[in-house]
Amino acid sequence: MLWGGTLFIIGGILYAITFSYPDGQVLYLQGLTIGLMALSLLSCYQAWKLKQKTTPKKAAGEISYRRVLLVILMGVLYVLLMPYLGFIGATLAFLIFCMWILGFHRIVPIISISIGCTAVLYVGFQIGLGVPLPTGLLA
Amino acid sequence: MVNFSLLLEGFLACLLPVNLFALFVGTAFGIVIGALPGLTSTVAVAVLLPVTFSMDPGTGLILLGSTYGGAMYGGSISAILLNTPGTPAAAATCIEGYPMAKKGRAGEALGMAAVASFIGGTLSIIALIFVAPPLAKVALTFGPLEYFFLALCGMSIVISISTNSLTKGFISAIIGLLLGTVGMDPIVGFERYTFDSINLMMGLPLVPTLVGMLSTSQLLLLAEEKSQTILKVNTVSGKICPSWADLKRLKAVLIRSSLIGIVVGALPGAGANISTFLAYDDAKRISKHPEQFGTGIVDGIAATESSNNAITGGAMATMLTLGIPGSNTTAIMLGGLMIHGLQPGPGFFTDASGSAYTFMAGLLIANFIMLAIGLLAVRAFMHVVKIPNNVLIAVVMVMSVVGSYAINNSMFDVGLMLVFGVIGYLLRKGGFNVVPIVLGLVLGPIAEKGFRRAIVLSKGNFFGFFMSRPISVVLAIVTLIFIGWPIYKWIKSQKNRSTAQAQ
Repeated sequence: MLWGGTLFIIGGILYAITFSYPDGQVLYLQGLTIGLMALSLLSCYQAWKLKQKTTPKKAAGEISYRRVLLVILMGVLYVLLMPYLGFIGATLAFLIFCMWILGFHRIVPIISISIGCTAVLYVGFQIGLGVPLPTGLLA
Repeated sequence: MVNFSLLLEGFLACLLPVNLFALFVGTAFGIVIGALPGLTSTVAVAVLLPVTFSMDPGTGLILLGSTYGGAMYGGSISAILLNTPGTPAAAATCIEGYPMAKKGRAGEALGMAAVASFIGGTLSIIALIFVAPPLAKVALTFGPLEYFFLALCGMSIVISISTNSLTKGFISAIIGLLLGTVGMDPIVGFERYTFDSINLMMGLPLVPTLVGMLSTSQLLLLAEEKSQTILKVNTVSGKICPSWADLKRLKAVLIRSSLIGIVVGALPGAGANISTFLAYDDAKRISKHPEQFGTGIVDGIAATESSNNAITGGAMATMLTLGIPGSNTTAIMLGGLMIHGLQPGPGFFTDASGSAYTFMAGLLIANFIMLAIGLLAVRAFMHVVKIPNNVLIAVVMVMSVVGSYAINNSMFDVGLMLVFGVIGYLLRKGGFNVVPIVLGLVLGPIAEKGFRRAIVLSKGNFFGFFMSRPISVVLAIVTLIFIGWPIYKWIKSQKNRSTAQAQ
């Protein structure tokens, strides 16, 4: 039901935005957004009436949403810091911290995998393919 | 008809050192990624896609195609050794593969998986070679209305086959269609849902969006699992290569399963797991000893593995000739084609016929390489499946970031990849299948342009225009069947339930 409600609101916002577009050219967009809203309501109704299960749920002990949030946070920081630290610095930091946070606590393999992976990607893209990777402010 | 001279040129082009290298690296990389539980052929192709940018289009396509085939086989390795499919397509292989491994016959299981994958993959590529060019000729007669109904038909098949809930399937499709509207209106030219961002004026960049939705979301699903899969089978010993007598005995199973894979692969979004279970059931039905299925026999592996590699040819036939991706992986490959300036569809076999035939020849050769690696490197696979998820997530995430950046040298694309990774993860947790979303994103613009152009061409008489195009009428009927049949079944089940409750 949460998903149905969220999608209904998103559909409504997208529908409202179409009023700022030229008249006569938004039939397709409005059709899609109205369809989304209608189906979202239907989905809410079905979930309420049938107590419909979504994906098969694993036992609570087997899932860690904390790990997912940490990976997302690490990813965001990686992207935000890359223009400042450059590709090499940001990638080394991301790999080391990400593997550590996810529970891989063997220091020598972490360091060697991080250096190896960064080197291979740098050589492959920057030198091999000629893709100019971010150099950061330090450069 | 097949242009045999171009096909021969394609084979000769594949023998160039750079193309042979691409075939070997793509196949080996695909097998490794496919063998790792939680990673899929889609991730393998997504990660390699940016590497193809500076390559010749033919070489790039060969690299991606061989990766696809390798990954479909690679899934069987962890299915047999870990009882965990490396790719969803290998789920059915666990049924026979792991029991065989527990009995000390892991080598035999892995060997049969390699040979069956080779046979299924080879038959499907031969089918692709013979079916694709004439199908492309038929597609040349398609006008805007045909493309509109083709897009609708593809989406209706995906919604009805690949989703457990019809409502959620339709919602996913609409989400994909809405994502496809971002950017400039194709006819009038005003901005739609760009939120004043210059980066969105040309629409959502396809590859970062697909990589995020399919690959990054998969990594997040992998990240939520606390436990690490433990290798339960410690040795791979004994006979590996199946005997000629075994193959002769299983001839019917291998051919029938391959045909099932080819047909199912051509249906957009049908998925390899559907074809493998269909093939397994078929093999059990025609077997003289059906009671032995489930106890660990090679017949089951022959069926599932030939079927899942046979999907590649079918899926690519639909993608190359009609521009409709037959699977998530071919959706990523579609993005790769566009980046190389190749337009999939009927024009691909006329404007880029050299690349097309080189690609198909390369896929055939890749199957031989896959067979060789599969039979010779069997014992090395045990080390591959031991790589911890923690390491995989971090490394593949970095490769996805670099890959998304490399397309336009834009951090905006990387951010978009992350955003869609989170959206894809949340949608999957909510029970929504991402396949209709991907198809909506890819086919939506085609459908919209086709429909609006058809309206203009019909000059006010849309129904008359529609009835004058027989291909459109057929596609419309097929679409109605695929949408109407599940609705009819749902209504019938509701009536039966009310009748049962009343009694």
